[in-house]
Amino acid sequence: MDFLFKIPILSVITYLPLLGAILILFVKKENTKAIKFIATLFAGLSFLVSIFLWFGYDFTKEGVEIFQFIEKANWIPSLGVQYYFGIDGIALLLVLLTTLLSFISVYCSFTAITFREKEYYLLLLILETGMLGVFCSLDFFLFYLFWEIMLVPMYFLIGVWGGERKLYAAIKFFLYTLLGSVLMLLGILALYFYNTTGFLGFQGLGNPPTLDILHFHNIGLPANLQFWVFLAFFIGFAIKVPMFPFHTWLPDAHVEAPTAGSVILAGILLKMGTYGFVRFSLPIMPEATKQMVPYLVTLSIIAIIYGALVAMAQPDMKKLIANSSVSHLGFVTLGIFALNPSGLSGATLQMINHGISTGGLFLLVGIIYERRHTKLINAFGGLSYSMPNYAIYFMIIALSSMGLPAMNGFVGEFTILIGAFHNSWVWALLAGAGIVLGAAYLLWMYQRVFYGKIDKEENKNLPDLNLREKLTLIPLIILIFWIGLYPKPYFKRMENSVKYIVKIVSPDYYTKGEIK
Amino acid sequence: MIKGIIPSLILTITALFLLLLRLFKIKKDWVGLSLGILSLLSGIIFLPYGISENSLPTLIQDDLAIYFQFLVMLASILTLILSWDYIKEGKWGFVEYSSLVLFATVGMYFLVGSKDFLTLYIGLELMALSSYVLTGYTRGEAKAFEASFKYFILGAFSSGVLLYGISLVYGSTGNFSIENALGQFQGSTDFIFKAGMLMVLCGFLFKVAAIPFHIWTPDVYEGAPNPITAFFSIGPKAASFAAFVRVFWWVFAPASEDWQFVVYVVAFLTMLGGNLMAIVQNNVKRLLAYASIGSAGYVMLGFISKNDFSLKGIFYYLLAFLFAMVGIFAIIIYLNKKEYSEEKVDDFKGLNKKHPFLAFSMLIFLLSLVGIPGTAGFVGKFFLFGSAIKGGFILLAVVGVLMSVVSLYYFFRIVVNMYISEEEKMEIKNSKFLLTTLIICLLGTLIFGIYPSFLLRILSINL
Repeated sequence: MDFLFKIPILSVITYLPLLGAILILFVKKENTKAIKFIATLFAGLSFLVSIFLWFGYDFTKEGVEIFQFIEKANWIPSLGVQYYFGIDGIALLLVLLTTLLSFISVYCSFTAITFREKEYYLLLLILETGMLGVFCSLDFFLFYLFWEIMLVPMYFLIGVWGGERKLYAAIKFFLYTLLGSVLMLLGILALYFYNTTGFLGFQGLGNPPTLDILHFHNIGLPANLQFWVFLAFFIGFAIKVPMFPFHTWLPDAHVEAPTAGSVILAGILLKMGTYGFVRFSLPIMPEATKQMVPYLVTLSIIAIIYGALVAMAQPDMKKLIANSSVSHLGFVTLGIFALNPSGLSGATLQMINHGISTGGLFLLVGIIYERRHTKLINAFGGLSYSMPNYAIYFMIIALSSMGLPAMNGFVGEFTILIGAFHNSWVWALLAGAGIVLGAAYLLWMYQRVFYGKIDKEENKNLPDLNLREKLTLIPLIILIFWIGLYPKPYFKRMENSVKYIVKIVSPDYYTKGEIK
Repeated sequence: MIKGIIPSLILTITALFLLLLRLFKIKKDWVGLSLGILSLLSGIIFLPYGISENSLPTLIQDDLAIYFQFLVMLASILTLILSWDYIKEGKWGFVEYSSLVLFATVGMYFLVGSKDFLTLYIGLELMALSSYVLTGYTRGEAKAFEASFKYFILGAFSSGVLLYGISLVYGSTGNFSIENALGQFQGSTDFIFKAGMLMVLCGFLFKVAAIPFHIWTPDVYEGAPNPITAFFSIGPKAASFAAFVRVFWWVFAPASEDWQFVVYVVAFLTMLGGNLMAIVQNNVKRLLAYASIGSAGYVMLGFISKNDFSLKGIFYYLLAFLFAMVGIFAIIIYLNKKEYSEEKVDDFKGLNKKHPFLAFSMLIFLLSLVGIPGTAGFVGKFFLFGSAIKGGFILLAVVGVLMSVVSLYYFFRIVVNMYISEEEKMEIKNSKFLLTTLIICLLGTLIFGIYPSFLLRILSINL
């Protein structure tokens, strides 16, 4: 695998989709076949190349060495800005999730998108480059560049190909997330000046200017500065996750977005918030994080229960799934802020799981929407007779989403609950209630859509899944069972990365000799 | 000795020559355009020769002066190219137009590089007088006349206030010098000095259109010919900011805390008011007027904080603003068939379908104004907000970034019209000159946004 370290593999993965987008630019817009082919080809290539990362990543390394496939070059020397790519075990899994889901979103759109295809696939590919860049960047400037550039294609995907209230949803999404990220920019600037000359009464460290993220890990910020910087970052990430009470953009954006947009939003964009907590908040502001844990956990638990209750009341399948995301992401943040290895690795795995399960559910809703042009639950009933295959696929993915043992959701949620229990049994109990509610709203929806008699004429002769649609779902189902039955390769890859963070944020965890 | 003034000499001689052409009955428009651009280009080429030429009694050629002189000359070049179709169509005569732009440039050149208050005032007035005429250049148009007159009355008044302030400062210190100010004025911050400072401050705040001295801006922006509006939003503003910085960082340094307080309040109001008022505008030019008021507020973050990030930020942001504004006005001119049909936000409906390149360029310029990374505007804002954080003006920085989010909201009303509406009612002009301007601006925005170290390497401004 040595050759992998010679070529800039992360850049190749990140910019392959962009290259595809540039090629699409030169294709005539009437030639939709060629456009679809190029988009699929480049998203697929990016996915194929990213598989090498899975095997090439050396998970036995510890400390800073967990960051591998490093690419470093000067970019803006006077600011200390570098072109700095590298991934640890956590980012590795997210990169793989991104390339897979982006690939699927390209070919799941073939029939769903019927106008302005050229721009659509172009934006989808640019979006993929942006998302991959976020997970690969180890420099604040570079990270921020990708973090914000990504918003533009997402805005257009919702705004042009979205549902009835697309304009409202698109601008709301853009404004909310931009609001969070500009405050984060101020946080980054504060870190920059603390590291160099100091500001506002804070004695600077006098280091040469740099925006290298790893340099700031455990840099020892003074407590009150930590608090403010934490707050600046927190708002940005909390909006992205979204944590309660910053979640109001999410149902709008998810519901109005086209299927592929929803898959990417739920599957990947939301993970950027949680990834941000893991990569920035915990290692850079450990003290402030620890201080805030009671509040953060409270918000997470509110999100778990509130999200589930709101989901239960939705008459629209897509809205239901969108609100269930709030609940599931509550689990992830709960795991992160448990600040121990089980919590963090459970949270990381659950990020992947949520991408697979919720992404899958959105794909399924998209499939039925293409046939019936409605997503209302009570427009259906008895679908298991007319579309038996569809019902089976839906069942598997729904069960994985509610955390049935032997499937991926169970492993993630269980590990998070262990982590939460480690701190307080109350947390675990309340979060456990969320799992029950999750089963309730999903099964109830399933019952109303698939069981009973077919009482509507339109539902009688719906065509079942075709090959392309099955191909969008099969990779997800393979992953569901793989993670559910044999999660060890996943945990192995993230183990040392999680350890690296826990060592910074709760250093006494390992010294007390507790079981891991 | 003479090196420092070569560019201004070239510009002045060309401007006078262009005026004289009428005597010989030469009314060729292309002469005006080519001579104007040629003189400005040679002015830029000769700029570096004057660096550190400090022997002139009235003019200083330090980094600050050179960079901003470059900026205003670049603005003038782009304005001239931009104006070609507009002025040609109206048959208003390009020769005199070109000469007026050159005179304004000479004024700005002196304003930026002045070593004492008298040169500064003369430069300012030369710039202002040319601007008044340029605003009303499309004579016969009621709106242009109104704008020109409004601008003249308020501008003359503000110049008066500035002049009175200068005389008070002179009365207090017995010296017109800007350069040697720091050494001589130590401790002499008496009441008259401070009163003079306040008046100078008001005069400058008027020139950069800060709230509450902004009332003239929307009307003038709306009424002036399109290319001249583009010119106003950058050239005179950049020059005034450079002079602003020089006078207040040098002469009024002993009273820093006093003026910083005033500027703090004004910057706060300007960012807030400019951006909030832009939300409700339906006329594109008024919207841009309020947006540019708001962006003057961002520039003041750099002005108030006085550290190594400040000047980089001011220069970089104004450069980004120049590319974005000229580019946007190029597109506005593209869209409009008739003069003085109102430029509505709705005019952009369906632009993407009709002409994707124009829509894409517009999107990039708007993103640059919002400050999305990858565009020059982001780098400028990065430095400006950075200077505010470093200077401890956290509240201003927070207001600044929040207002950037607001600006996204109103700029994206245009984007929605361009990309999401499918209507097609516009006619697009076909013009090589506009296209040239557009491409220069687009390249500038993207190159300085993605690879800023190219410029930052030379941009170690020392005062």
